[in-house]
Amino acid sequence: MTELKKQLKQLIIDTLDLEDISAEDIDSAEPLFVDGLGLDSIDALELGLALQKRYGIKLEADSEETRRHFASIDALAELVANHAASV
Amino acid sequence: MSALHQLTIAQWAARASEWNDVASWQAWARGETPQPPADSETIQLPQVPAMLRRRLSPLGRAALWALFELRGQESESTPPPLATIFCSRHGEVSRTVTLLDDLATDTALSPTAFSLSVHNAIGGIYSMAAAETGNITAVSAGPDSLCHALLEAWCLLQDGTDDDRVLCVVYDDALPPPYPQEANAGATVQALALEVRKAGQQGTQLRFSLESNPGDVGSTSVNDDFLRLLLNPDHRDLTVSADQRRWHWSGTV
Repeated sequence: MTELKKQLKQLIIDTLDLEDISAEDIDSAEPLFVDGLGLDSIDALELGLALQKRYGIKLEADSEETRRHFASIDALAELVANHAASV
Repeated sequence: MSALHQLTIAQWAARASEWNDVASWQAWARGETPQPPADSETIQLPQVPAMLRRRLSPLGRAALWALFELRGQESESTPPPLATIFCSRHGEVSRTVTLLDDLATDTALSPTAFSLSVHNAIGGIYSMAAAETGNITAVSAGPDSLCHALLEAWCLLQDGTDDDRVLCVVYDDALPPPYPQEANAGATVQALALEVRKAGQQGTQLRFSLESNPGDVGSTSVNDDFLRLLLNPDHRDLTVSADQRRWHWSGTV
């Protein structure tokens, strides 16, 4: 799980051009959007695409469920781990 | 429109990929090889927060750098709205080519790249970074785009703007492959910002006219030619030919 979280942090940094941030700067429990890391709605779409490309996960663009999965690195890691277990 | 119109260029700032200082531009206008300061290749752009800055291409950084040079140190914490014209013949064409390549290979398009490929994207980022609530226009109008942007500035000034000046930035990068590379000849200016005021203000006085001229085709170096016009007091005339249009620009002291 720790390795997966590290992987997800790096994915976010690379996909979203977070030039001044390293994986260690991102707190796994911290909100990714608005507060916390400060990502916005375009980032949400870009991240959705990256998850699809990398892990084969398809998410509804604007569902409550997606919002929950995108809350933090912890929530994303859970989503990816559950998806990997289900296929 | 064959009548003569007049305006003032109160100040300007320009970037090439390797320099941005006035001395280098003056050397360039004399046909010499500029000797720019060591660190002039990188654009810091501290006025733009990092989370917005990451969205700017090198071209967008150059355009915003030039605009912020003209804005200088703002004396008021909330400056009055300032009309700004963003003008580029090809805009963020590198992003568009990447998107087209992805489409051709059935690859999913990047939402970020798509949102930033539109012609007013750089203006949008600028409005957020500068907290600019004034009129923002995005112009793309063929090889003579710069002339149309200045005509737009002239119109805004006649119409009455929030301020007595209009900022105008023209910016273009070399076209990426698969476009023919000959089209890139003679374009040194990456971004040129101009502060435009009504005629008779302090600065360079310009007169211009536009006429229909069937048979004229586009010149490729209009932005360079226009900056030379501003830099060279002995050669204050410029004719710009475009798609069936001909502009005459002349400077008066």
